[in-house]
Amino acid sequence: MENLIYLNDVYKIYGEGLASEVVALNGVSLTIDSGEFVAIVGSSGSGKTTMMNILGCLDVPTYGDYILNGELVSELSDSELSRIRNREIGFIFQGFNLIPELTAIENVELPLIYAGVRHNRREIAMEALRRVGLEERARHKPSEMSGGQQQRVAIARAITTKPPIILADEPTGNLDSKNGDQVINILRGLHSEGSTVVLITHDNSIARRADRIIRLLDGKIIHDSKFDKGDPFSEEVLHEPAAGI
Amino acid sequence: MNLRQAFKMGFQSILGKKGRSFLTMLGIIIGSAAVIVLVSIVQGQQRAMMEQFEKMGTNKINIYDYSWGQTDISQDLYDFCLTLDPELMVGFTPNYNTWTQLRYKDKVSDINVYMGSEMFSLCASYELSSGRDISYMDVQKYNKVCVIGAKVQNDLFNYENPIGKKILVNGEEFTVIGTYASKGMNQMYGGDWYDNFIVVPYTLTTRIIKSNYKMSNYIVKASSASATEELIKQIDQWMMARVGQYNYHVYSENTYMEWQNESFKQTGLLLGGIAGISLIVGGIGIMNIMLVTVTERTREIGIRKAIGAPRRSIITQFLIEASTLSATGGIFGILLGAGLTVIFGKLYFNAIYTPTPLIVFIAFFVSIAFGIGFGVYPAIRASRLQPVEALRVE
Repeated sequence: MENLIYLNDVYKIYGEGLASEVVALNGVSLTIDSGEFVAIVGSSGSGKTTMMNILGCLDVPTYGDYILNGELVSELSDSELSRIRNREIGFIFQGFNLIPELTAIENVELPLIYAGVRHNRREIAMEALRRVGLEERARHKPSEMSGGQQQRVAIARAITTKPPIILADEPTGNLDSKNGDQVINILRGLHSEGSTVVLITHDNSIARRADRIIRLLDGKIIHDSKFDKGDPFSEEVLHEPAAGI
Repeated sequence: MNLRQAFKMGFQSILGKKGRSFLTMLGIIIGSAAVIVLVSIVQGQQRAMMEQFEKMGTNKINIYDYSWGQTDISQDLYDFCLTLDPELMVGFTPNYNTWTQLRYKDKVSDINVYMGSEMFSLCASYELSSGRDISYMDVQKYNKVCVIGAKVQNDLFNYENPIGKKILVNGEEFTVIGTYASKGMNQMYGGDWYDNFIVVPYTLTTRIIKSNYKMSNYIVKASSASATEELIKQIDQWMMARVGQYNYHVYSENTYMEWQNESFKQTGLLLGGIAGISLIVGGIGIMNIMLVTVTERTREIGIRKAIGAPRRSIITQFLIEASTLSATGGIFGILLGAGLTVIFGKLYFNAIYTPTPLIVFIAFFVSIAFGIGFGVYPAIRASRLQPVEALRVE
């Protein structure tokens, strides 16, 4: 196992120095190895999404180092960050974030276009759609698909450049439990094929499907442990800590 | 960035908001139509003028001797013309003329009589329409013959065949041997004044003038524009030496034509430039709407950046969209302009003017260039959006 993600004492502070200063991440250190399946849990405002944005190179830390696959992200230029988002990370959002004007296949093709892939782009994108079981809906626009289908298209888009890391921000948040299950099953499947998966959720039934659970509170990691189903000690982390802890 | 996809999305976004796109394009449409109409009308008039000059005769050198009370140089000038380089000179003729009365039966007409050689029609660019032209022998033998212009034929003979008929030129009887075709000059450039004349052999000048005269006007027809310049130089030198400065005039309509041409070109540039200002206004409209588009599509930009779109891809996408908008406007404008050019030309100048390929090309590419130029600022703004903030926008 090698370190894929390494956060060292990372702070994210909005409006630093102002009276309205918000410390979203308050000295987070974290290591995620290649091939892990990690769930990050925490109540809203705990800093989950901020952490996800930093892990996904959509945002950079105010202080602290983030090393992704051997590269110090905080020192990368705009275009290098684009390249990392394109090649190293597949991002899945709660709100799907498909481009409404484009068909499913065109949405999935988009990362390949930005990656500069010139040949067999359609075939590679179709392969990804097949992986999520939606090749028949390739020519449909997002508005013509159900939420579950849209999220599967989004997963296909996330995996089409075969990135080592898949980041999912509340991927089931807008879905019913049946579609949510289907999405998690796909993520588990990708994990079993070697992908590193990090997901954010506040749904314990989803978190239970992970191998490791990290709980955030007020921008700090308060729990970080392996999760074994049925182990009472492991179950402990799933409960909201009482106020004052 | 995939250009095909960018174009597709550009068109989709134009078609998706037809009303807004049309209003945005209106500036470019009006601007390019105005450029096309103004420049095409000027160019049309320029071409019409050129045609008139062609009819008058190009590469034609007029020599006037104004010297008073000195010896008659007409024979010397004639001899000098004979020595001119035949490579440069096509022919020459005396070109003395007088305004006089013509009579045929009971019909009377005031006309110009030209005293020319057998090369008169060649030098003055007239085409024979019937009969024969004045010949060398007519000149040498003092034959009392004449060739008549189209207006004279019309006024005096109507449907009668004029060939062989006798007419009185200032009381002298001449036989009509031929007729010249009408030059069909535009009213603006003299109309049928150019057809209201007859030509007689210059050797008969005394018969008509009935007094002393000097054969002081000559036409030399040159073989080309450059030959014209060279011959003017040579003739000018000779005249200068012979009669002295201010006593003669040697010129060609070529010079006037070039000057007119240049002035039309300047007018075209000026009007095109003024119309071009409305294109700039159109370009600002495009910039405005592109800024709105960028704001509306902040989320889309965020998504694209999140999945790895580099800044230049975002810039390219919005530039293509802006230039698609302006190019479409440009095409509509060119079509509208071409239509208006034909209509205005017909209404005001009674001629069919059409835009030249060059001005169509320029109008089209200026439209695109303005689309790109005014699209740069919105596109750069789009590319600078931070993905996290862009994604937060609903």
